[in-house]
Amino acid sequence: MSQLIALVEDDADQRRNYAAAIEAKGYRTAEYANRPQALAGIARQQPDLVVLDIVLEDEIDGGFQLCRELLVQHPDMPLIFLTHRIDEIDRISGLRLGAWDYLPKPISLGYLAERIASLLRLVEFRHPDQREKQGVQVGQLTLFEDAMLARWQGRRLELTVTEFRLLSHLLRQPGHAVSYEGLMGATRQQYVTSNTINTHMRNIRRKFRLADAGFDCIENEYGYGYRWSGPE
Amino acid sequence: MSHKRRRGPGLAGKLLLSGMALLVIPWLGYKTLQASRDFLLQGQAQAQLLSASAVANLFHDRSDLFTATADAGDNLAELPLYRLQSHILLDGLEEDWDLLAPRRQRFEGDELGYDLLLGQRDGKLYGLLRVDDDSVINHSPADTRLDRGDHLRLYFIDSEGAQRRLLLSFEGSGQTTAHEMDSNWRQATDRSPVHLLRGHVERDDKSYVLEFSMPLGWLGEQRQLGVAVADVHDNKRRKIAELLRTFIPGDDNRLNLLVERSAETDRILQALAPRDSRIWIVDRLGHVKASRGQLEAPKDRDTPAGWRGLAHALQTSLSEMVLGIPLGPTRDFDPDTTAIRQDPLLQRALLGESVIERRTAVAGSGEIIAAAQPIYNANIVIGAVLVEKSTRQVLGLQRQSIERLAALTALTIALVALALLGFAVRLTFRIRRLDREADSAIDPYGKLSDSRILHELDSADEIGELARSFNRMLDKLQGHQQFLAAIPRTLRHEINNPLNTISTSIEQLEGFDSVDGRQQLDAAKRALQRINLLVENLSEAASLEQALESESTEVFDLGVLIRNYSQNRLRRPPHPRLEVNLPPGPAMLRGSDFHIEQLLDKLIDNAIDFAADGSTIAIGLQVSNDYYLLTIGNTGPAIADDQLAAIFQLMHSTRKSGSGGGHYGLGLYVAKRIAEMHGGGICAKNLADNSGVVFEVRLATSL
Repeated sequence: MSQLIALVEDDADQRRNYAAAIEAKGYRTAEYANRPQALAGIARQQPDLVVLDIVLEDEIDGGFQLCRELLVQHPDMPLIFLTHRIDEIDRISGLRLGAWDYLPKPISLGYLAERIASLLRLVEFRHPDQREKQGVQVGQLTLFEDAMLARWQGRRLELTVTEFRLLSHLLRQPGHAVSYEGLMGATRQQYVTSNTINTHMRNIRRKFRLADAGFDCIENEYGYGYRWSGPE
Repeated sequence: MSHKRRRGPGLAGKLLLSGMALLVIPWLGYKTLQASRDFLLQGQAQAQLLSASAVANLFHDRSDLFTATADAGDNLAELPLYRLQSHILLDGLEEDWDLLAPRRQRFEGDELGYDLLLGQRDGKLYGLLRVDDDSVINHSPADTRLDRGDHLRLYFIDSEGAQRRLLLSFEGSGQTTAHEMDSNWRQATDRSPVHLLRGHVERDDKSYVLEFSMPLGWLGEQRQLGVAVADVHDNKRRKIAELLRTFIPGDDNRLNLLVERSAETDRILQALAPRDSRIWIVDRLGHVKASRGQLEAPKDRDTPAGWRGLAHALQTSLSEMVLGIPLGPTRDFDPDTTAIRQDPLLQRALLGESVIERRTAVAGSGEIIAAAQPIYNANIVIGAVLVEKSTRQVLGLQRQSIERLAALTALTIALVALALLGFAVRLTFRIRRLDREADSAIDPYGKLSDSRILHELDSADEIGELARSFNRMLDKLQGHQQFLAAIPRTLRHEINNPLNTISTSIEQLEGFDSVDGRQQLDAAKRALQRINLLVENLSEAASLEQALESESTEVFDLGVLIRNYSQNRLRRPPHPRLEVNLPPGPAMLRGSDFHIEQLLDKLIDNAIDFAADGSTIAIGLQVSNDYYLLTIGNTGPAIADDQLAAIFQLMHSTRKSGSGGGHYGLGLYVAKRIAEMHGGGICAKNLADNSGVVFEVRLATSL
């Protein structure tokens, strides 16, 4: 039986388009227009992954609240925020919402489907049996590409998928500057500006510093991009 | 915000200036006092007239008191007869005439001259003569001719109307001898001397003094008396060299009229005994019958000593200068020695009028109010009462009032000025504080801060009202500012959802692949991409402040950033030619590094767009105390003067529309906001020869 994707989106047109694209990839979908419906439906039938918007009808922060409520019941449930409210997510990302990734609107449907597929694969890799099998060591940093997990000095970093991809891209050529354009490509998102990259980088640094206050390995290459400067 | 401080008086100065109007109060007070003084003086004059009238009543129909000189003939020269205050010793010494000495009458002949003074006391007539004669020829005792030596002649008309001739001769210093003389003044008619006419001579080098006395009763009602001094020069021939008379010689029936005071009048006046005014009674001819009293009450207090004395002296001299009050007692006609008053005032009173007059005192200092009333006898004026009084009392009253007024006014003005000053200082302080708080409500870049007016909110007055309305205004302004700031975000919110729908729908359409549809779809996707970029840029500009506020800023070396940036920029297309000029030392800046990077992006993109082909873009950094000055210059077209400031406005673009490349008039606006967020600013200048443009960015150096 194919995997079930829950879509929580108050705009019916968008929801239908998502559903059509996802179903075209062979998944089943469950559509919910608001938080109560979603809570009830998910309780009845647990999905394999939830895609949710933040603004849900008259609840401005309905998506955040739903995220919290779902993670209480299903701590390992993969969640993707699909929203135009990227700024807010930036600001509260330090609060460890627990979402696996967040994607800005507008989004390419193909990209959405691809992202769903890769997250579902991650669920496999993050299964305790599979976890952290093929780590790549760069200095004090260990990257588990398949599970999209990173450890700094052995401590796990709470990176989103996008953040992991940026970090991973940066580490392909340690010591060499990576351009904004390269990093934009690595996010595999549409409409990325260098400011978006800067915001992500700031968040990545912040998460490193939660683990190690003295972290100093990501350097700005002003006018070009970023560079990983740590020892190999 | 730097606004020029305008020059001009502050609130305190203005209030004090207005307070100067208070100075009109003492002036008004002075005017009032002057009016009241005139009123008082008028009142005094009326009172004097009343008392003159009262005194006159006492004398009405008392013609007996005024008959002494009646019909004595108008043309007679007068000899004043003074009332003597003390007993006169006939000793040839002038001391006992003391007070009257100045009243001596001078008679001057060719070579001869003498002073004469006549007085009366206890029914006797006294005479005092000082004759200027350096060679006195005494009468020889053996000579029967009494005129063969220096001598004195007395002429008078007795009560019988007969003319009498008495001669006083002397034989050196000592007593004189008096004789009745024949009409030639040669022989005595009676050998025995007249004992009741006594005299005494005392000589010195230049003159001799002769005193004499005779019963006043000898004189008849006509009161005519004449005096003559005969001088003999030649000791051998003993002939009279000069005879100097007090009357017009040649007509012996017309002597001098002896003008004296009336004793009874005097007595009546004495009963009235005025303390602060002087009463004169004159007869029809102005001859003084009696006078009593003082022009002013004697001073009560002595001049105090020490500091109080100094203050007193200052006060009195001030009052003299300002008010014209004389320091010393008022001097006028001496009641004792004045025989005749010929004032125009009296003339009018003697014609039957009641008259009031104000005049300066005879001695020149002080002022006198005089009131005169006629005295009648059966409807015929027989004399007049003159009441005189110095104005000093009224002036003194005025002075006291002025002093009190001055003190009170000075105190009041001082208090009011102090109160005004205090009020003004307080007001100024409150307004300044309000000004400071109002100033700090808006940061140097025109953005509303969270601070509000804290003081004055509870004040009930207009300043409190101002403060409250300020806060209301700030609140409204902030609401509006938040509304404005939210617009791009709201816009993005509202646009992104339909955009997403369009975008996903187009993707769905792509599934139904057709060659014709493909081109349209591609065009639609490109348009979508551009709209999306625009929305991104808009919200980026709008959320800039928020981003800078939320980020913890860090300290970094601006020079290193610029060097690093320009090196990276050189490697990237379109590979601009950059010339970087940095200061030698570190240039530490607190801020957001990638926003500075963004600022450089915007300015260098802009410079590349406008730079002449093949030209170099100059990046410079200078360090001053307060600012880093970052300059980015390029050669190329100049900017019109009116555009120099406008290019930094939101949605302002000088590029042609449709040129693409994501220019929406945002770049320079974002650059400006970033500079301002770093405590600085940005401006554009044309090079002096209009060969290019330089952008100057100031960033605060404070860490």
